[in-house]
Amino acid sequence: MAAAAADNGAGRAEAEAALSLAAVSKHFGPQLVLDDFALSLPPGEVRGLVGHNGSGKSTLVKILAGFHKPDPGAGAKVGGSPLALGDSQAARDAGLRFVHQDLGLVGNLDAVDNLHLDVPYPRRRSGRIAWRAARRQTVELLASLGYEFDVRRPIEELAPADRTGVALARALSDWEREARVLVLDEPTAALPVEAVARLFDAIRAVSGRGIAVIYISHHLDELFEICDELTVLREGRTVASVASDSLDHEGLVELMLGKQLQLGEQRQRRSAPGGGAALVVRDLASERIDGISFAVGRGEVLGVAGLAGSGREDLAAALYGSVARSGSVSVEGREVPPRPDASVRAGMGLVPAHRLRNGLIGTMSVRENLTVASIPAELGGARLNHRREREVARDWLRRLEVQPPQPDRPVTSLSGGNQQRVVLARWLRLRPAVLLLDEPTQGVDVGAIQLIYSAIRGGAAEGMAVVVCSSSADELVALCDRVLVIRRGRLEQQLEGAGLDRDALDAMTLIDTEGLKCA
Amino acid sequence: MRVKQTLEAPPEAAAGLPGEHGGEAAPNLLRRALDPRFSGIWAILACIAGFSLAIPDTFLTETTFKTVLGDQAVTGLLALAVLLPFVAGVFDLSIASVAGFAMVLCTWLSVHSGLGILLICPLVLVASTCFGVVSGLLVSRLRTNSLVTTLGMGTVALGLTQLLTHQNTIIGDFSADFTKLGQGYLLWVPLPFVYFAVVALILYLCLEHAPVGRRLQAVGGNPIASRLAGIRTERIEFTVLTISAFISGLTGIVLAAKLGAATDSTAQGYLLPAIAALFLGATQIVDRVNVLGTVIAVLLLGVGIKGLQLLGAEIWVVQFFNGAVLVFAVTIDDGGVNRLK
Repeated sequence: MAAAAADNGAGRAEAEAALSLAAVSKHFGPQLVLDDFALSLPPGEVRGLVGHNGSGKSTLVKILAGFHKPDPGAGAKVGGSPLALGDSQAARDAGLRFVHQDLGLVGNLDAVDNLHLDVPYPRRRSGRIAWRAARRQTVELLASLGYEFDVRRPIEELAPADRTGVALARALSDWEREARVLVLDEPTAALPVEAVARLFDAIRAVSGRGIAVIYISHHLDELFEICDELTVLREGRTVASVASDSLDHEGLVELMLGKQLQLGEQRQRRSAPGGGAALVVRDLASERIDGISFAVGRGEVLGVAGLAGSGREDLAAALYGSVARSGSVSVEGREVPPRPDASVRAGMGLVPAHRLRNGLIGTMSVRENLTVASIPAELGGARLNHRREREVARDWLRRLEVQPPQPDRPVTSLSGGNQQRVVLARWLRLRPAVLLLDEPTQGVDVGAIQLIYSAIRGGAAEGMAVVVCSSSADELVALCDRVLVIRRGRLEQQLEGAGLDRDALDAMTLIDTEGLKCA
Repeated sequence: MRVKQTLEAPPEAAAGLPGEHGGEAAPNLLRRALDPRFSGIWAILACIAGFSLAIPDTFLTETTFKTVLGDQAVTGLLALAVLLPFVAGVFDLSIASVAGFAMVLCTWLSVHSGLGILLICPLVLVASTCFGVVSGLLVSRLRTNSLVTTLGMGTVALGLTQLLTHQNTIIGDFSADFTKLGQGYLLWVPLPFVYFAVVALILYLCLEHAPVGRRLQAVGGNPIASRLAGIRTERIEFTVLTISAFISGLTGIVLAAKLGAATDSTAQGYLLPAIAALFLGATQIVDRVNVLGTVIAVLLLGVGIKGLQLLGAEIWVVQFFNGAVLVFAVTIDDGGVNRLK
């Protein structure tokens, strides 16, 4: 293990450190998720916190923010004075500030109001809010971070870059008095490329005032650009803490993933689309996708990998026409208009992400959810044949081993894995030419995952062209014949055959093509 | 019993036992009959029994029977007009105003136009349906809030109604044949109630026994998931508001024929009873808004109010009773209101 230069600098320059941590560990039950973490962060330094999913990054942030209490024995000092970890009010009082990925703003309020959500408004002597002063302070604060826009417009109408600016300003709205450390958790996940540069200018302005910054991102190029030092976590342990200019992309990925590359047992994969292309996509573009073309053969399972914000989340919806798109999508040689109902008629099906919101009709029974995509087919045309419908539903519940196999239960009474199988059965029943799945095992209990995989593969064996969009490399490796890697809305890489393994996939999603010479 | 089998999960199926249509034992039948989902029928019988004992001379008469059915037919038709969009998650508050508009337009045309009633009726239906078309376009295409949109459209209709009446009562110049359509009987049943029954039957078949009803309920349950399942949610929202306005227009014509005269406020009073019947109906038969439950609720409200009136209750009791029933129904029905768009 490359514990290159583990930073145990808790003793070094402790008095001046904006934030110093020592012996911070955290167990969830028997599982150790953060192991003896230590950190010393001088004022004005921008520290990158890097690690793969499950490395302990988010646990650390939650401990700092006071959502989790660390195991006993942890020590923390902010600007020299001790801080009790695990108390969000104490963390705020000590001068820790956070900008989370979702920004935590109130969309229908304007920037002035959002900045005063946790700081009192300036008042006149009569007790009325001094709006003009509040507005002036807001404008000044935003300007000092390099943002300039109409502060009276509701947040939800602002560009994503400006919204990030508001979140940043809100975290720092009382910085002159109190803020010492600013933690940015994946601030660029939802940002277009050109907005990232503005955010970096703002971060430099913040660190220029002596505030230490902890910057968390999956985008390695960002980390190299903005961070002075990088602390790498793996499976809860601090693997390295090094100056960012002493490392390259390749070295960092090695640190993140560990050196030994495990080549998992290879499943029999199809090398090329055999039965001809069922789905042909040309120049697909949407809000987050920037011109992608590919084809999927009959019986092929194609995976789509990409980080949050890469465009991967949009792909299934764009193919299906449920978000605005341009470009052409053809099923079995016929172009499909960009509407879900047209996609269904052309022979597509979508198992969407966020099952409760997008997949299930919570007011209805299992049977009704199962047949909702095409009711008339074999169920008696104009007059519903309830008995036949119940038989069809029971048959599919049995095939996918849904427990309990009772078609008339409310669908919400099933567990997540069983609910997901109902949504899957909805489409498998119709034998679509193209089956799209977005995060097919999201919120699914472990036991059900294999069942879902085999149902998906069963669909492919029947000749469906299957597209699986997933944030889990393990899932894509287990399920797919071929995986497309998307970065920043573009198709960057394609892995198949022996080249398709977990580590290669992780490396591919993380790094810019130029950063990695060979996989 | 048939109703229950087709509408709701048979208890055997829920318990994992086979044989949904097998012979039922007597205790099973009794348990079903006492199910709270059929409480409305018992309540109607209890009302009839109670009032019959208290005021046998006035309550137990043919006239009472006929007036209850005749009055409740109008409430019932409007309840169905609000039910259809509600099932699809869309609220239509313009029903009573559109019915009032249709009633006044029909009467006004009979006096001022010289057109035959066979021409007037289609004209009125088309004019009324236009309100639904406009609401439907706004709600489905421009994604406006249905409650606010139909409240506005209803008020527009009320304004146009007042333009025709100038706040006077218009006495219709109707043929005897036309008034008979509103005042006649089929055997002992007032004709308006027959119309109500026919519309209720059509809606019942469409909503409970046809794929289109399933789609409506899907859209009402989760419009996002429904759209992703390939259902054309916008088309459904447009269609239900259009049909709702059509039924309202029909109700207006029935009212015109029934009363022979029209004022701009006649129909307004039917809005709240219709909505009360809708929500009270949602507590019956199945745990959601449904046609048969609405029919039961309409009858229960009619019997209850008529009995109270015959007992000598003053006019305020009607409003009080309707309002209290609405609040009560909405309180015990947890599925319906939450879906209000």
